Amino acid sequence: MTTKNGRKGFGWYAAAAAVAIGSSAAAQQSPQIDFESVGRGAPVMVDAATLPVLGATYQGGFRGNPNAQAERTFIGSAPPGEVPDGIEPLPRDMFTSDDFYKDRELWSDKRYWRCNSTVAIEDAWTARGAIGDNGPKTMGWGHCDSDYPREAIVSPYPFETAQEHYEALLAETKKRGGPTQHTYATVPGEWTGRYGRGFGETWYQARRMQVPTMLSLLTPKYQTYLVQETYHQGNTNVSHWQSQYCWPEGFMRRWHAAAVRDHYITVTPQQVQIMTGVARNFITNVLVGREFNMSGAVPRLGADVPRWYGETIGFWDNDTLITWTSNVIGWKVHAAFEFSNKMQTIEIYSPNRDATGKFVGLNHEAIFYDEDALVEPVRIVRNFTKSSDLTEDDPYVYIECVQTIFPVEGKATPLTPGATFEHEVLDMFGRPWGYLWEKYYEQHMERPEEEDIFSFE
Amino acid sequence: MGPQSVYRFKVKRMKKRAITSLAVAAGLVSAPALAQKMPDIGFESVGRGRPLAASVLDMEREVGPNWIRQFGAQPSDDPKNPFPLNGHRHDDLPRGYDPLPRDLFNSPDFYADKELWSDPRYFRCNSPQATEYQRGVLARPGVNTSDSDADGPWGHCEIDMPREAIVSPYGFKTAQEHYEALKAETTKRGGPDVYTFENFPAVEWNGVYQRPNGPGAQNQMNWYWGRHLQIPTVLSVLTPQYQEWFVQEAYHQVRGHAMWPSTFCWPEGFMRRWYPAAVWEHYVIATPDLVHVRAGVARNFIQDIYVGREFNMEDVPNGGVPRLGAAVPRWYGETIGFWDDDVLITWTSNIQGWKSHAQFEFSSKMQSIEIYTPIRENGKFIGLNHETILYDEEALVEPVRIVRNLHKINDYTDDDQVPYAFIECVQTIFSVNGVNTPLTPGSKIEYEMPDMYGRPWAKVWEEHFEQGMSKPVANEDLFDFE
Repeated sequence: MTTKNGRKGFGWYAAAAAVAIGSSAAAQQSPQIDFESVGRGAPVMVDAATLPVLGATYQGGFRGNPNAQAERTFIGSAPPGEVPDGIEPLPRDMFTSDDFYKDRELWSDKRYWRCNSTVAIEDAWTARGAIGDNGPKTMGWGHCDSDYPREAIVSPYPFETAQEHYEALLAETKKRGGPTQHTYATVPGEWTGRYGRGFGETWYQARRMQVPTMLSLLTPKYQTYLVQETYHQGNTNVSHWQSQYCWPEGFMRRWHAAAVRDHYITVTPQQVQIMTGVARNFITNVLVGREFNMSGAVPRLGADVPRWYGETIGFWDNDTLITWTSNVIGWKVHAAFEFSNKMQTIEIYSPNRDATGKFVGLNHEAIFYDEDALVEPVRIVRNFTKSSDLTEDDPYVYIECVQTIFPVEGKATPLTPGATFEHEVLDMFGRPWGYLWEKYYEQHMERPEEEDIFSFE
Repeated sequence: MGPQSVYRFKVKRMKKRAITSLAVAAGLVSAPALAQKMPDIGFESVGRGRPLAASVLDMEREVGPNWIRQFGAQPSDDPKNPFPLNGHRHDDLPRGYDPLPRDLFNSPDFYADKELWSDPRYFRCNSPQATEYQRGVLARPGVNTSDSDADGPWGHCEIDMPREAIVSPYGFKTAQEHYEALKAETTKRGGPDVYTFENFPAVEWNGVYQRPNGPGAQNQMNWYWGRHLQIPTVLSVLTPQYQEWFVQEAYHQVRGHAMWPSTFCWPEGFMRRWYPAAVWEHYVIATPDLVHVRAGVARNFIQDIYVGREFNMEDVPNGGVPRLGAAVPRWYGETIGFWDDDVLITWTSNIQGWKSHAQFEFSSKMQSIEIYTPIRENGKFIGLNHETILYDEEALVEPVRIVRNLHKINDYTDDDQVPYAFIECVQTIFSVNGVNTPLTPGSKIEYEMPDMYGRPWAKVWEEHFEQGMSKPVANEDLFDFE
């Protein structure tokens, strides 16, 4: 089977199995599944944790703090102001360019980013950053010889849409005698509980991946959006993180380690709920046994209005929960790519058990479909480790974000009560972050005309 | 009962601080119909299931003033009389209504009128909710169709909810006492029941419950909605500081200057859970260890009841409150509970003090005892009786009680059941020179960063509309961290 993107269906299995055999760590990231499924359980080809952090950043110490105890250790191939051996810098890169739009042909060259990851660039101007004393020109270099492979990011399954994927999994489950109709007596109630904040490093944390690799997943417009953010985070030192302003985090921040901490899961036969968050709340309600209304712009359960965290249906295959989320509001993730209202996911929650068969946590496999943003589906696999039942430990803190940082003349500025400034009301459905960059920091640039992704026309 | 007698009656009642069990027993005997408002729990409990001393459902009319209008009805061509008025125009009062020379509507300084606050005529016998009808901040057009705030119409002085039906019928002074008494009672009854997924009795609780105030809504209305009682009756359950804050809001609302938290995407706050306009359908997820109740309109209200847990009490001797997590107040508190058969008895503490518009503000000492009791019809589960007793030593002179019934309308698996739309509020209304102003993208204003823990609503009123008033020097900041 060949997809429209030229990928070979099922060919992944042999290659992935080889990786799994040769790498026990990788195998640990994959769900425990005892049959070859059409659309779940494919081994993770490369465990992100086994790859080096690209840099350029510093660990330990604190820049500019003479009292810092720990020695600062540089991660990368060349500290600020230097160039790594064997690398010929580009005459113009994102740290020297005055107009990243003009540099489109250079975006796919990792030297344009000085071999840094999006996260290292996001960190550049922070205490652990490697921007140097004459930033941004003196920004350090990451490791040019390391990267997270693209093949391990894209979906190993042959489906072009979430609908195809879900239907194939449902058909497979039917062949296996399901979907399982659980009652309270049979539903895996042991899932109910709190799961520790660590869920394993994934590629999506972006610390071990070159920027062009992430760009290769995206359509041209979404490449531009990612470059725009990366440029401003590293060059102009102007970040616009949604949580800074108490804006919604958005659907895909669920997978970003800094946006979520402990996950609180509640299981019933009809509904499984997952709550997590730091600056804002992420709530996933999996409605078991429901079917989407297919009459709108995208599959949905309720009104034909996108929801910040979408709507989710699912079914049980024994003790595995297979879900489909749609009707999501397009938004952004900082240090990662933006996504559109077409975003849909297939997410599979499979129990992880130890050698004695005891339930220890959940494998969470997610495949992302977004025809506007992604050139092909991508996959993130992570593992939640159950840390306690809900009968112990701290409760979930429901978050009400109180804004203390405001964009003042296009720059995020912390303010104290009583401070006044000229506040411009932003169009929240028109890439407000993009608007701020363009108004205050891109006046001299030659930005191509584009269609508003949030246009209602 | 004329206004003077209403006033005398109120003053008398405001001095009353407790209700005796004898009085409750009398209510039990004399008001069998009222017992329908509470489920039959099969025994006389120390702290739950007590019949209501009076129910708003038995009251034929609201206090008003409000327009008498059917849903969707269009106003007449007469802008002065768009709908029939439930109430009285200020220049057309019934005999016996004896206006005060100075009242909330014509006073330049409500602080100076403190002696008058206990007289319903000071508020022109408006209900709390009616203060939001005067200038149309709740629903347009406003019932005051004049250009002058001093022309605000009157409500019905003869209608009021008895204070006895608001205050707790139980004798407990603290939520802790109440919870412990209920637990001891349950223990005597062989509980608390500890359930597993295999024997869980509340499976049928899972599902969606009717919104309180929508079409076809059933008997959920209660005194807290603020339609059936006089403002002095609410004031009578408040401490002086919280009386002042209540009057402050009423004063500004009848002039059209509402400061509702949800207008600005601020948190709604704990007590808005009981206000019909703030919550629509309630979504309940029930498991042996955790029961989750969610509702909301402008913001989300989430109550997670941790069954079988116990509060950390280490801060209580030093003036702190019981808590489960860190010693930081939470917007919707933290809740523990236990099962007595199929009844869930809960205690919420560690709440962030805040406001509820057209109702009283509350402090971070607020705690609640809430009891969820199944309602059955011919043995079939049809919903939950939700009985709440609120304790707040800073805001309330004695505990108050709210009872409502949540009617189940759907299972999650029903095809026509839409999922809960998790709300992310996007601010479009801003306070511009003290006036709530909707703004479109691109608009620019001078924005003053509010102190969210210093009654930001009051800051706006005081800065823009209270210059020259005799505001007393504040005692202690509710949100003072010292």
